[in-house]
Amino acid sequence: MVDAIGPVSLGSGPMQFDSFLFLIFWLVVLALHYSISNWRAQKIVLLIASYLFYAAWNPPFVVLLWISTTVDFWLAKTMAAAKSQERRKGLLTISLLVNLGFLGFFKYADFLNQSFAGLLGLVGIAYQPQPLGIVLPIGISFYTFQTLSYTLDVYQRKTPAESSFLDFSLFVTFFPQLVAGPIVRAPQFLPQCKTPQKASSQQFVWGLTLFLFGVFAKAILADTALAPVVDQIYAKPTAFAGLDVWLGVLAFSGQIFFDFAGYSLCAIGAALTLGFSLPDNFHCPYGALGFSDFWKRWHISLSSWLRDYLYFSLGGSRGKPVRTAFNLVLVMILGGLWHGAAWTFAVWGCLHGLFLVIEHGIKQITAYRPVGLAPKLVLILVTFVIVSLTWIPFRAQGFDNLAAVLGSLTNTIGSSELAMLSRIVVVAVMATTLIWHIASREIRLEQRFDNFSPMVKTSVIALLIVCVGIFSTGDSRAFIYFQF
Amino acid sequence: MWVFFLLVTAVHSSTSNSSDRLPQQALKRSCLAGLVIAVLLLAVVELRLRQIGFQPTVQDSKELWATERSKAALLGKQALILVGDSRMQLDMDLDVLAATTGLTPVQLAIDGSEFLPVLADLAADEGITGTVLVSGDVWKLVEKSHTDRANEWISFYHTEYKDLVAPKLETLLKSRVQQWSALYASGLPASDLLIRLITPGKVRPLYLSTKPNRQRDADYQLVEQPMFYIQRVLRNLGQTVDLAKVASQADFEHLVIDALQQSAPTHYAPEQFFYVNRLTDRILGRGGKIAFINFPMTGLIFAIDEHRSPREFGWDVFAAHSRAITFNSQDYPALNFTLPDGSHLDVRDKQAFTEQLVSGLKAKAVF
Repeated sequence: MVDAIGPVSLGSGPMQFDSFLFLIFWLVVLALHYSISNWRAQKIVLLIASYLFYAAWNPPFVVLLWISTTVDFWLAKTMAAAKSQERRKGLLTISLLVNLGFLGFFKYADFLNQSFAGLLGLVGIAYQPQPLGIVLPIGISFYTFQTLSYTLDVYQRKTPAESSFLDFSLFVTFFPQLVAGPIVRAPQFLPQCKTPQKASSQQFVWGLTLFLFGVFAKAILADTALAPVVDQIYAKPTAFAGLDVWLGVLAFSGQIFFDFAGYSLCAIGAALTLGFSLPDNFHCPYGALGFSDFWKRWHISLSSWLRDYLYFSLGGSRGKPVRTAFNLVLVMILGGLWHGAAWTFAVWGCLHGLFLVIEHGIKQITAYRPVGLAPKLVLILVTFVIVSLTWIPFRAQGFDNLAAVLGSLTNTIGSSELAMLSRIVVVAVMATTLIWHIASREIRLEQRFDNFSPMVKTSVIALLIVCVGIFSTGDSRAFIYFQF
Repeated sequence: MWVFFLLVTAVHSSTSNSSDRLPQQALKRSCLAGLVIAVLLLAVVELRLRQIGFQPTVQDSKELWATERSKAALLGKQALILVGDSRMQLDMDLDVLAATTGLTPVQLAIDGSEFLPVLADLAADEGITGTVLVSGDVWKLVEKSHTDRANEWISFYHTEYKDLVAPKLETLLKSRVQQWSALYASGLPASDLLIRLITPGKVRPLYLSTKPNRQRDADYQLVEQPMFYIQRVLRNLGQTVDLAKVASQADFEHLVIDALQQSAPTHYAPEQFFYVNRLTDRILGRGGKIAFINFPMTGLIFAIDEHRSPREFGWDVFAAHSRAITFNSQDYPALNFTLPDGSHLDVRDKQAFTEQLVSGLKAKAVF
């Protein structure tokens, strides 16, 4: 099997939310948005800004966005007008072929090629293809799923075909969520294009606050506090004692959460300052009671997409238990591969699929539901530990690295050790995160913030700005989910 | 901040459907107060840093290096490309180089790094047709299998910078901001800076500063001597020495020389330079020029280098078998400057040193 053969990732992507470039871009967009009174002109400005945002990475790939937008707009419109079911099915097939064709070519061509070579090798045929060196267009996985959900919804008559090309283009391209989600559905976004969107002062300020939370999560917690520990451990796991390797594994649980949840908060916040509402993408996932609960809280827009368009299409849980189990595992493997063209991602997805099957089975057989604080806490902690361990294949650079990290979890001694300050930081950040997630399982961030006194709110905002201003001066890392 | 105020007061009443996801209590006052407090706190830290001698400086980084690397290819014959390690980066005055050669200097030296990967990258780039000056210890001229920071920076340039737009603009903006704020002082992680700031007796401005063109200046009046020199010697020596036994400079020198005797000198064979000679030939082959410079060293730093790689068995072997121009500063008394750490020039001397070096290189027809 091939460890990690994928397309060429070209850098950190378009403008990073935690960059000076984005700050200037955003201020200019806000100034234009609020200085124009004509709604159509405002949408045109937002659309041009979104294309510029994407082109700031690699201009030629804007063409892909145009193709995806035009093809799906036209197909959906034609599909809605079509009388025969056959024609509708044919148009849907074209949409699937175009969208998945692009995704398959750019993201999986090298992976499939190398995997095929690996299979031939198993039967003794030597075939060593040269890597194709295809550049992965940033965000292709996200906008492909977004446009696919639209044509699928139109096909299933869940949503009408959009008549405005401008509105549909903005739906596909809207810059806050273009490259790393949340994956927005047409019914969530397109109605917002029909009436002028101007943020109230409360929306505007809350949008800025969410953006600040997101930048803090990304630049301070993910990049500054946790990523150096993760990099150190995964670079040479066998050199460390088991306790340090466990800390590295925990640190990655935190890094990936703060990185991606941070991005989502920035996206939701930036959109809110323009008056647009994007769906939530995370809700205290490490406070989850089991794996099905985890997937209702982690990357919500992707897991609900997989459920609605893949799991249900395969029959969901309507069939026999074996078929349900197969559906779950298959959907999770495909979900894993959505994250990256490597078998380690498939392993990660497969493990989550198996956990869901096991949990499903236990619930069916025993009808057990945790009642009371202690059983719930135990279940939350067990879920957290297993989820954290399952991140290992997700982070590992191939199967050798995966085996090394797993094997090193039981090391009694090591030739290297983490700095004491790093250990304290990881434990403090992760303990606080767990407590926060457990305490806020049923409470939205807005409600939690409402419960603070004005003094606390002021202090929190001041503290976060100072931290971002002082501590985030090092290398800016790309958001992990840009590469997906 | 005025932009924030304008925008907050300019936005109109809500027509969005997202009001169900808003905090119920008004936020404007808390956020504005938080912003004002944060700006004041940051200003206090900035002023305190300036008060104790910290000055704004650009942070040397792979992004900044990539910016210079882009120039190297674009400038063609006009480029004067500097490759090497800290000596090339700290000792050369780029303004003097530009004025005395008429060429445009491109600083690609990387502090504390191998330079052969950079030379290999330049040799492989058909766009590199200018003049290349290379400096570094003779042992760095031999091909090695391991990778270091130079490889990482080169890879960054090719995969994450060269063909992309955003990183170029962000690097430009970031270096502008860094020139304006002392919070970014000289590559020290801001967290360390803060710890130093609140630890009595530990606050000392860093002796290195970086310009947007990657020229680095060392101000040795800001370091504690002789400890700085001793640490530099020990780092180059790579062996532990019991400093408890040191009562005088002579004791220290004896200890270092004794430690040195435990290792045998390295004698280099011509074939060990085949790789660097091949790279040289590629640059010469397309009309470029290349010169290798052995920068001055003094005191124990020179003694360590000369013991490990004696000139006649190292540099001279390389020079005899290279088609490039070779320049050993030991042969030029005019280049005898005081080196506070035995290895690098103080910022006050680099202008005169660069002028003398260019004069010597002109005599060898490099320019």
